[in-house]
Amino acid sequence: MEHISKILAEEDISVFTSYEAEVFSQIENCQNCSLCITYCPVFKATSQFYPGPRGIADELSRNVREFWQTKDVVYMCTLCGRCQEVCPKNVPVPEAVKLIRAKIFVQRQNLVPEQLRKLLDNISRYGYIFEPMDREERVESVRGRLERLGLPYIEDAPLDGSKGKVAYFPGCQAETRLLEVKEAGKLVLAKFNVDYGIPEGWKCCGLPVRLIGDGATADTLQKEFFRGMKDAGVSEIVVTCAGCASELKNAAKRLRQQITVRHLVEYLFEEVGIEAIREKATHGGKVRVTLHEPCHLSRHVGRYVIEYAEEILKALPNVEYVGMESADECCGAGGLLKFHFPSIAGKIRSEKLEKILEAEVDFVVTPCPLCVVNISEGVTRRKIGISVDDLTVFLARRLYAG
Amino acid sequence: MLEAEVLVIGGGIAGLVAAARAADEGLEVLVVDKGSGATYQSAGVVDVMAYPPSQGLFLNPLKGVEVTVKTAPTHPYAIIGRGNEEESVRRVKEAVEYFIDLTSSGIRLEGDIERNVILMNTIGSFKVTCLAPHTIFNGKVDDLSDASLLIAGFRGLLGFNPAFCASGAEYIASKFNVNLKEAMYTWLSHPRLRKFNLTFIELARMMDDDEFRKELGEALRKAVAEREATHIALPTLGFESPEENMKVIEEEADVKVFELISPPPSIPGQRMVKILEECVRKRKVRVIRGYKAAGFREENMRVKEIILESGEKKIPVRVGACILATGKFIGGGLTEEEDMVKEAVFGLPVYDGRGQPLDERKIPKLLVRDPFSQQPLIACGVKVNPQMKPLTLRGKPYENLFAAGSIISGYDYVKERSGIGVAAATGYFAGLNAAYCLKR
Amino acid sequence: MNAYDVIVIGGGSTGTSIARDCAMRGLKTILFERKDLASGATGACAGMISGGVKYALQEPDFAEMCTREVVYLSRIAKHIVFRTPILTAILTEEELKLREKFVDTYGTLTRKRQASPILILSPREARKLEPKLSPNIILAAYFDEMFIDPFRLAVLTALSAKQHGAEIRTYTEVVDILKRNGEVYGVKVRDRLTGKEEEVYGKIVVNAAGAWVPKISRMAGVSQTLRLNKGTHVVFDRRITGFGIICRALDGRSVYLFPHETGAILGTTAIDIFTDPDDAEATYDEVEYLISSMEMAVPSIREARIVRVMCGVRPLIAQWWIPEGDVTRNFKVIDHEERDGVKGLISVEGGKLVVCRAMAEKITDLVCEKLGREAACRTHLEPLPGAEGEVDLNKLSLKYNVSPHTVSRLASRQGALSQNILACAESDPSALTSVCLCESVTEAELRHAIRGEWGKTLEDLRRRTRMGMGPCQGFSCAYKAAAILAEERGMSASEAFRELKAFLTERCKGHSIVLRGSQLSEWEMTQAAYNCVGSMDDVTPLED
Repeated sequence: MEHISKILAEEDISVFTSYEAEVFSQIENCQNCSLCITYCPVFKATSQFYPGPRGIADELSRNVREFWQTKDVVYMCTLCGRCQEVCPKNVPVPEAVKLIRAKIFVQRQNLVPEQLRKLLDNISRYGYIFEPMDREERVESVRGRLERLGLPYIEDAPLDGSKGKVAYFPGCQAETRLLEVKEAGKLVLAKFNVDYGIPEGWKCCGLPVRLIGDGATADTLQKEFFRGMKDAGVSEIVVTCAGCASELKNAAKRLRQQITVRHLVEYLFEEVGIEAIREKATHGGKVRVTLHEPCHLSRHVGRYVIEYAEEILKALPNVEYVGMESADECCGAGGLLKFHFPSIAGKIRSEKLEKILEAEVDFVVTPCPLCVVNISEGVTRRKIGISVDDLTVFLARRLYAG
Repeated sequence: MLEAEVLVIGGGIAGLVAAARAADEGLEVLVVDKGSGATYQSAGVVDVMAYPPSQGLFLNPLKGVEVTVKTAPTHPYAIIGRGNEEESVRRVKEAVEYFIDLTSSGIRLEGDIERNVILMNTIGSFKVTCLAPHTIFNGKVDDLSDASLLIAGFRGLLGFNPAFCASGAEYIASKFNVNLKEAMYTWLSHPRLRKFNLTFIELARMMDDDEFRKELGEALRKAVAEREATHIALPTLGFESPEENMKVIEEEADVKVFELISPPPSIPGQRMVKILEECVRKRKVRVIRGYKAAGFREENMRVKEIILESGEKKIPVRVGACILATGKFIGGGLTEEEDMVKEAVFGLPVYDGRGQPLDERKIPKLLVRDPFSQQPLIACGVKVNPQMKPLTLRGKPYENLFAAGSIISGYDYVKERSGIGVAAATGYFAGLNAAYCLKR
Repeated sequence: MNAYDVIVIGGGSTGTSIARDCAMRGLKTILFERKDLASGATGACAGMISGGVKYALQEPDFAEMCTREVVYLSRIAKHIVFRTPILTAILTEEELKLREKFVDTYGTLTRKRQASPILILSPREARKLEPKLSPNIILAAYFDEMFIDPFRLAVLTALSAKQHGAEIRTYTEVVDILKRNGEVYGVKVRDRLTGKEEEVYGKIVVNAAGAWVPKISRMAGVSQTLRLNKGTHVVFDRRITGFGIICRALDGRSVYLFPHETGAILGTTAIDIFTDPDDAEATYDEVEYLISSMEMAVPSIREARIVRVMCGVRPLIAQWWIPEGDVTRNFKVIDHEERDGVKGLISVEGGKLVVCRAMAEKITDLVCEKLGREAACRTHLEPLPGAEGEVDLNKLSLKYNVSPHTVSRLASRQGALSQNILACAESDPSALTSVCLCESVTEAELRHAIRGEWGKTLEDLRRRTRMGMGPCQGFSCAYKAAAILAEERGMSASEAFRELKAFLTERCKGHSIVLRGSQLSEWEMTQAAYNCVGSMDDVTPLED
């Protein structure tokens, strides 16, 4: 077998698992029609260095050699999935990008961008992709945020193993950065008397880890996570982050878990119901709101979640919901682009900000804390007078007296 | 979202026209589109009829429609008029005018429905069509009498060679008896454009940029003066604002400017889809992308529910009427199974261009070796009755199911140059009939 | 008087090698090929250059020659030679017994020759290496073989011949052999592109026309018989498997699926033909035979996308009453002076791609003998153009700002000459534009093929650069290449469109036999682009 490995290495022939072989053979369906590059946000922001999804598909599908040759381009993709959607053959470029990053990580780690490798240190040290605040700082921050938003504080409900409990998984962003999202999540679930609990000692869902290419660690995180859920007798998980939603749904499917993973938006629409929401969302004055559609929900889970979100917003009293042009285009935060290609991410974000301005709203909401942080940054920098809220937070504000 | 009065499956030209027409009748219309189809690949011009079946080139599309109705009773143009030439011509005209009006807020379609025009393309040959956006129509070969045409190319632009186009232009002019004085070419470059592997979309986006188009105008002015040109042809005039860009460049260069037609996926084609969708949305039609029709439920020959697939989720939608506008092979309306053609959503029987069921006939039998000869496979699809209802295996159609566009058999949009014409006509009447069906 | 020492007829692997050897030994040489280089059997094979262990028992000398030649080719053409690991999939007990004997013999012999060992793998091990293998295999035998790009081999050999002074004339057909008093003194040729005819004189005429050897010999009044045997291959648009797969065919023969650069080749059939080799055509039955056979080992082959079905005719030595597989692959050099009393004519029968250089050596030895010239053969020592040095992919990629992928594809065809081709980008960076996106063929490479490699038609360019061999089958590149060809060769627009149509028609021949799955939408797009938008189907006569 060593002889075979030697020959394979000499001839640069990669051995694929059947899953990888499947994805790469779909990549080879690319017909070079170039439609994808019209819609690729990264291509729009910088075609000089980035050949676009068609370029990636070309290089991969017709490449006999190892995939490390795509190292420059493969980290520029936001994995927004727009290309796959418009492609006549639905070529899965984002999936291929993930697989290549994984191969590079294993075989040529020195090619992984420095900034991304650093993020992995946080996972091993804290279990989250970002460094958490220390205890006191966190308590202060939560208090301050809730005060500003006019929301009450409720304790984390524990996951006590009792049957029928829904596990609420806040995710790294809500735990370490956009703390109000976690608080809002609890508040919303409590308002509708959902019997929920937050798992103890939970760690990152694995999406950013997978995007960096460390498939092994991502797999371990997810295996452990679902084992813990199973041990705690959980059959229903609710998340408030689009990234966590798509990643954990995929993981549950891959690990053949009998656990349903839903974004809070899905849970509210499907379990709580529009009428109940309308009934209880009595707080707050007249506002004009639009929705930014996170890629991880609209394209990696399904557009139906966006439909749900829109219906929920439309049902809220005193809330005027308006559609935004290109609402489903990436905000620029995808693919961890912000960490190693901040200028490109920034350019993509500018496009999004233009569209937000055109919508002439008071609020832009989105069911993804990562998008919120990114768009907020842009809004602040440009001194635009629009509020950016996570959808969960926005809902909480309509459900609770301020 | 679980209900729709009219559900249109497929967001291409046919589907969107059908949706708008049904909405005009006051119905609640939902269009679902999986996101990729032939419409995104079109050239962005409106073909009505140039080469009727078994005929040569007709300069009057409506006369072409007349001949078609007379000689090809299974052609959609014939079906919508129930075989009556006058009726068919009237209806085609109505539908095309509707399409022009529908898109008028975003595209200025020029041309006369009774006159086909010859336009030049970026490959170096020509295209016969009826209507085109102003920026393209400006370059119709008829207008190039006594012209000194300057074709401007960009260094490193993938797929456009102005020298080749110039020699092609001379050939086209002589073929169509236009007294083109001369066809010249020039190569342009600009520091903001990449030096090689430049794509059309990048160039088009640049054209939309104020500074760039002014500088381009200046450069062209110099070239025009040097070569004593009277017309300029460009590979593209921009994506967002081609007419404005054209105006700026025309002012700077002081000559007539136009853009060439390009093969799929062309910039004007992509633009047309975008504008059409926007215009249809304005008519209170809901268009949602990312949904695929994956099944249906019927009862007593009425379609009750369509099962939509969004990601992993299957969503049943109750429908009052349904319009199937799923396209041919590019759109995925027709698929292949064991070398036979299948209709993808309802499993409807597939017919050939002459109205005969395909049955067990395999695809290779529907192909002709010479790729430049008419291919019987293109004319395959579902068979519709005069109400645009497709026939089922049981012979009669579902009460509330209609079909529009290239999913319909009986015509060859490639050979005839009748793509958007048929899409608009069948879409228009499918939408109208769906509305009537519900109102009754 | 245009008198040459040697006139070589036939531009395949054999003909070009002969021209090279003769030119290197100082003979004034000219080669005539009626179509393009490697358009006969050379261009229709799978490209395997086997060390000949298969023949070790029956024809030990020939086997040794094969082994030697593989070493030489790997040296002189190292940039177009690659190794493919192969798995022989064994599906039944009965087959196992048959193969066991082969495996044992093979094993002993490879140990003797220090060739690659043959390894036995369990189904699990085999499927781990190649997940596309059927779960029904009971055993797999691993070995590896060397492969070469036969088009590039012929072109580079011809280039080398030219560099040593030989003249290479493609699209020039020999229409008669000039003979006087039992002595051949030249040939009459017709330029197929211009129609012009001329007489060319030479001391020795070498008939290396492969399957057309008997036809040429007849012009000199000499009768020759070959066993002409048709072999068909199915070409896929991607590599499908990482390993080559060999398995038993439906009729007990063997069939193979070899990844070949960016595609895969499935072959082959063996059907004796008795008509003009030009009339040989691949049939649907042959395609179905190949796919049904390989399906046993690689079930997903049926869904794979066929881009081309090609057939070639093997010019086997006339040995009858034995199956084609048992016919010798050795070659015979025929001195017609000795055999038929016709002076000045030599021909060659049989042979195999791997020994083309050795065939040329033997023939050139005979030619030199007849001309009374003494010169040592050096064809096994001197590298072919492009093999002289190493290519630093990264360096080139950074220098010209071209993706490493594009450089590596270029290097797999041009080797060390990649440097020169990219260098023209210094004066005109737009030449780095990819004309064929599927195969990453830059404009620079195409122009080089036209200017320096006898690229006269789009088909020629396809053979030299793989342009149009990818999934789009010319949809996005054919018209771009036609424009470049027109520019380089001063063609008018209508000439260029004629050429474009001819090329696309040829491409379509391949997939009109089968059109399945995702190919259908590709086909519809091509029809829309070239006919609906491009008006290539316009039947009004072309007036120049």
